[in-house]
Amino acid sequence: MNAQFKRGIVELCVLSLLAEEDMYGYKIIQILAQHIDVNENTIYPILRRLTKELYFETYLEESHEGAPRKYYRMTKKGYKHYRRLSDEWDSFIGGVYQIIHKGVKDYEQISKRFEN
Amino acid sequence: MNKYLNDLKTELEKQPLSQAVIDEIIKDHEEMIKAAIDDGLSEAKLTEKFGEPSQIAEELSKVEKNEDTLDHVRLFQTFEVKEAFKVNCATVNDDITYKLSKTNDLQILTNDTEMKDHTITFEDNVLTIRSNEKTSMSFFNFFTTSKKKTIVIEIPKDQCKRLFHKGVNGPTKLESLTLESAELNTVNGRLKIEDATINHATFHTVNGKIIVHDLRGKQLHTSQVNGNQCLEKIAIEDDITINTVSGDSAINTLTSHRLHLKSVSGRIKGNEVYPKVCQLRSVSGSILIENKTATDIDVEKERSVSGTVKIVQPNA
Repeated sequence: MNAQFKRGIVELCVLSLLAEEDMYGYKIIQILAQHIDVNENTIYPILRRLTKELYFETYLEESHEGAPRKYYRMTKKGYKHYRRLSDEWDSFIGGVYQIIHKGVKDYEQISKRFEN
Repeated sequence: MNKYLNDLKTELEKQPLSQAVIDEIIKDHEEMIKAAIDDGLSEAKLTEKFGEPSQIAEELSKVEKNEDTLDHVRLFQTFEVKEAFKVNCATVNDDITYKLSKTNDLQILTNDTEMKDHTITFEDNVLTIRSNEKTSMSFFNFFTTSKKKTIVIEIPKDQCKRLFHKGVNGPTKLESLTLESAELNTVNGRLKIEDATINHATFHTVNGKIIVHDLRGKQLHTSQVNGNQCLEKIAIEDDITINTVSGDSAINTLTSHRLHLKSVSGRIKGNEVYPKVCQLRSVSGSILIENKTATDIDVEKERSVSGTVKIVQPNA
């Protein structure tokens, strides 16, 4: 998959997680990695960029495991960005789905077009 | 873990990043790696999970370059300045920096060699910069920073009498300048003003952030709707007005003749704020000034419908 495209989708996934609750960096990586092929190398720069753009703010919270953890919290501005992006995504993916799966495609007929 | 972090630090130091940024990135990685090891990740798999340090450093350098460093811009245009001039700039997503020119010329530096989607002119002593981007964004615009331009406007000393800036999303920075008048506006972006003397300064944001550090002048007016503002080391001879609707404001070290703080529901918190005369008004927001030194402040108005409004000083 095109790297830029993938980064965009991961950005939407990160926004989607943080819209629900505040999270620390490794937890975000863990959750995303359960569903899509992604590593920290992709996620951390997105967290930094979105924080710089004031979509997230950070705070430290004590952890049972030791040192305090940096949590990311979505701002109102971040929520607006998330909603806008999410609507764009729904519209885009809906259109793509329509093109690919519109009706029941006759794959036998399609494959015949390329046989000769 | 230590070897991985050392390798990462070495790679980060090769990039044009400040020491503070490098330290923060290392600290963040130390925390994430510790959590991963606690979760059962072996040291041998650190690179697989967290990526090659060189790639991380390059990727983060791109993120940081968007705002903190200007190493990636090149001279785009130079204008000879014969008399005092004005600046009118209206952009959408661009990262704009106004700073002092090292020459007597007005210089425009950018990270784009063509700037086809911008109009830049210098006519009748007015520099006009306008981006031709639409404010509406498509799906792919959200997913890319490639359209975002960095533009640095280098202004010769004491030559600019009025600067007007209107932005939508991009960050705007003004540093080390002396201006007669400046009005900076942004919808969602960040306005950062550092080490400046502006006789008549106006800063406004809707949802963004206003950060002012070390500002001198005669008048200052700031306003915000939902955004936040942070004002530090402010020395204004005459009047300051700080308005907020629902956003928060933090003020640290301020002097002025008159200070007018107005809030609808936002919080205004000030430390070491020493006007001679002040008015504090809110609807439901709180306004709290705390000073360590007792001084005579003539409080003309101090009222709120349901919020807390007060100045706390030690007894003289």
